[in-house]
Amino acid sequence: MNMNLKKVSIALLVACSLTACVDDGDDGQQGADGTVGVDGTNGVSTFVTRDDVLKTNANIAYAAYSDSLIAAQNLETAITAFVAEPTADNMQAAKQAWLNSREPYGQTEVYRFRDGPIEEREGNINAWPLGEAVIDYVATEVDGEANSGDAANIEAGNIIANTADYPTITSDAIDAVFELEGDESFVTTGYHAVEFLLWGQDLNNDLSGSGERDNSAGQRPVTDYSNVTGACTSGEDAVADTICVRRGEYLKAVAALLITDLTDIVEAWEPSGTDNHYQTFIAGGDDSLATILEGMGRLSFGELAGERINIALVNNSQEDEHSCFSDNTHRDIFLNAKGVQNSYNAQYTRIDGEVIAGASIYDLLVVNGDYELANTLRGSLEATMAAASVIDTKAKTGMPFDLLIQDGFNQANVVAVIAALSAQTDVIEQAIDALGVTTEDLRQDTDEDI
Amino acid sequence: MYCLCLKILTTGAAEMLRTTQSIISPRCRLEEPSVKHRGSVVNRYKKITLTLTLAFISVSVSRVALSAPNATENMSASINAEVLASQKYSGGGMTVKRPSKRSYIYPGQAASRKRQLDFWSGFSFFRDPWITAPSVTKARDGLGPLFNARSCIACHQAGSRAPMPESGESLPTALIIRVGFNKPGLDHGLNHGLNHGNNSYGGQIQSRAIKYINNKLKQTLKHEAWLDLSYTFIDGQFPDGEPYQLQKPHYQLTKLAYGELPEHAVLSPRYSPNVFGSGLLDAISAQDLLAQEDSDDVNKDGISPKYNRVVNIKSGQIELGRFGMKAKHPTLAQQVAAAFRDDIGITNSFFPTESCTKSQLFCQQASALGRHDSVEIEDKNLDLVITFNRLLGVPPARNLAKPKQQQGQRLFHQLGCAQCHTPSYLTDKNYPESALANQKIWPYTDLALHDMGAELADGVYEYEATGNEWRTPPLWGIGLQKKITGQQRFLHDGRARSITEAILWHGGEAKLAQEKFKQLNKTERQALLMFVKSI
Repeated sequence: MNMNLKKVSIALLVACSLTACVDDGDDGQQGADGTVGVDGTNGVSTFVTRDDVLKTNANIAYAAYSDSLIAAQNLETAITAFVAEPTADNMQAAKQAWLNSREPYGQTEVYRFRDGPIEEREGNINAWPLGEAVIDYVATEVDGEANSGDAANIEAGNIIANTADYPTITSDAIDAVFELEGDESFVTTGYHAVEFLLWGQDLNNDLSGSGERDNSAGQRPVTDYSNVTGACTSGEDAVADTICVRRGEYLKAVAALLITDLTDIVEAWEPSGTDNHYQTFIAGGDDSLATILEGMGRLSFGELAGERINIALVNNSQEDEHSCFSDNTHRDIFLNAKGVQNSYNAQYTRIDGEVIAGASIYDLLVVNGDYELANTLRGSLEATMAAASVIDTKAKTGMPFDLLIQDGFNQANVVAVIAALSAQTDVIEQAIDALGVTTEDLRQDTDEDI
Repeated sequence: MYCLCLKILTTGAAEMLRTTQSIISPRCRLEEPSVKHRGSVVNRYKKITLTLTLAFISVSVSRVALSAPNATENMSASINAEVLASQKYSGGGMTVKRPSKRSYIYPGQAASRKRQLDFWSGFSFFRDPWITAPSVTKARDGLGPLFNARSCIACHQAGSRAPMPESGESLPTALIIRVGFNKPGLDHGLNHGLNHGNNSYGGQIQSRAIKYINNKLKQTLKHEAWLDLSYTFIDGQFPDGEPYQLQKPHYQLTKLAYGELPEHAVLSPRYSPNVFGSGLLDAISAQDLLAQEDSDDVNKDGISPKYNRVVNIKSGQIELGRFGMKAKHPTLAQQVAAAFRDDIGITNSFFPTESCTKSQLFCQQASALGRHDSVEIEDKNLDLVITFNRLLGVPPARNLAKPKQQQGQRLFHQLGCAQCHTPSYLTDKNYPESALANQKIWPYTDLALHDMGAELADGVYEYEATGNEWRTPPLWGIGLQKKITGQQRFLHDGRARSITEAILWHGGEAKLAQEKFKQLNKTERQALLMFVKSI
């Protein structure tokens, strides 16, 4: 009898290990049912459902866009103060406000790769590369390369200098000429327009673009905004006072427009809204869940690893870094990757320090029985953040991204981020398969009448 | 291709099945390929159809032989499982894993992660607008001086076809106007008439010019012309009484900036084609295409597939043409490079000179002021864009197992559509991009030139292609066009607003099939369209 019992239990053990049937959670020790298990005290999760995950994801979207809006308002305040009183301190404060504004926004970019309110205005908010010659003066040389420096050698003159075509500079006026006549390089608005107007082109410390690249960002002189009669400059050149006035107007107009655009997006994600994107999204079921995961994958790989990092690396091109005027590209990379991690862990730290956390895809995978995958994905996202933090640290300690991408410098650190992003994309794909979701149900699409 | 499988059966089995074959596909091409290609043809058929053949023999033979009227149903039931399994993956391993409602732009799933990185890197050059040189963005400048669009994606929205212009005057973008010649030999297309003394416009009307103000350039550069597009409407009805309306386009160039067009010049409208899947078309072996050639219609089936013979600009060799509306380019790489130069004004190692003609002096001067020592897109970036195009996946087929689609598929063969829209190939096993090699694909094209009748003719010669001839376009994925781009327009000039209209415009060699389509009843027509929309 004992022998028989033994045999049975061995058979059961074998069966269990073969079918990967671990603790069913009923006793709450390690199973998915967690504390609601029969004896449960320390389970890992309580019945997180897909819809819980959607709600948390939407709540984080609302929080991150709200933070972006709040930070943009702070930016506008700082800009207004700077234009009214163009001191070096106020300029520095405005620059800091811009850097602060990028922190929450960078974490929202993971919401870009799906249907949503950001789609329509993303270009106006964050278009890049900028084509800065459309807005303001540019240098004759950057990185020792010829530039469109001849003041007249710019498409119909830049907007700030061109009083004939743009007699007054307002938010409406610059928005109206965004991508004028279908020219997608005619970028006149958004974060990077503000960035250019605060920093100027990233020349070298001595303001000459003819030498080797150094670790300084753009060096726009504060006198570009001077309100002292006869003291206005465009870089090293003295120019008419009206140019400084118009430059200040442009800066204020573009900040105001940013707020308008972000306000619309925040409203679309407002949890208390009716008939808005928030409601549509949380009711979207598997389709919405798939958009989260696919958006994570698309940002990780195609956009971040491919277009943003690899292209800059392959071409060693300063203009192909995301925030090329301020040398803030390391933050763009870090924050974009962070947004992906936020989406997975369902956790986001607001700019005031409050932590939003809730039902995560990690939890859902665990509930689904994919414990190992849940952990693998957690680990690979963490590995990416670790690689991104190396670039982040290098930049903060004097080796910005535009130096890292150069031959013979620290390209290996950049390559490591690409590799980590590639690896995490593979695991995201596995998670999509494991959860059995897909965004694009094309099964029915040929059933409609022709 | 399964209509062709009988060729490899040994005689006994072939005799048994001959009736079946005519039932399944009465217009199946039975001509022998020209002798020099026969060996490769047989091998190929063996590969492609071996499993089908076995299915024919093992399951269906007796039933078919005994009850011919039901044979079609039985046959399709027996071949379905295996065929459908393959057919679903239109691009073989390069089928897109998760197709999107928003875009065709996804890499085929067989592409390695590393190649996918190149794909997305290439995509940024496909999407981002080119700007006027000189600029600080040195990898992305060199636009124009004369151009139609600033980016690839401007015309190939979502990897497909950008919106057609409205009727009336516009600056041609997605619908460009080529200037060709109505006689053979005047222009072989590649140099676009640059060497043709009295042609001020070159081979293509560029509707835009860079706005360049420079002391050294005394005059603003003028773009070449506007297009005045108009339609006349043709009302008709099917024999069963169902009405239809076709729109016939008319093209007029206005505000010509560089004088009159030369003698013998003819306008040829070209509406930007779908670009997804073109890597796989590049990967079909030339032998497999040439095996279908029957330019003198020796087999008297009314269809005379002919392959264009064109210059490979890099090697100087004459090769089989397969890209472009008249198959002017032999390789995908050359097609991409030509589009860069002609549509965006980006010179490259294939086409190192700007599209300025001798009489366009300011165009030449503006180009020189761009200060590019060499070509405007370096090979490493051009290669990325070519890789992007090559690795663009194909959406999977949908719903093919449904009865309606199955009925449509049978009609597709019965009407003779498959005579030119060759369903399937096995790609070259030696194709350099390994993910694309040796793939069973379902593009529904022979890539051959066909006389499509006077109504579709543009009158322009390109190499061996005559004014009536067009290259068969692939059909895969076109059923998603409306959902993805919000619009569906078909044929070389985008005149057809539905697949029905596109079929109704078929003339020349395709006239017989078009007549048969009209004779179908409404249910059958719907079934055929369902099939085409599903592949």
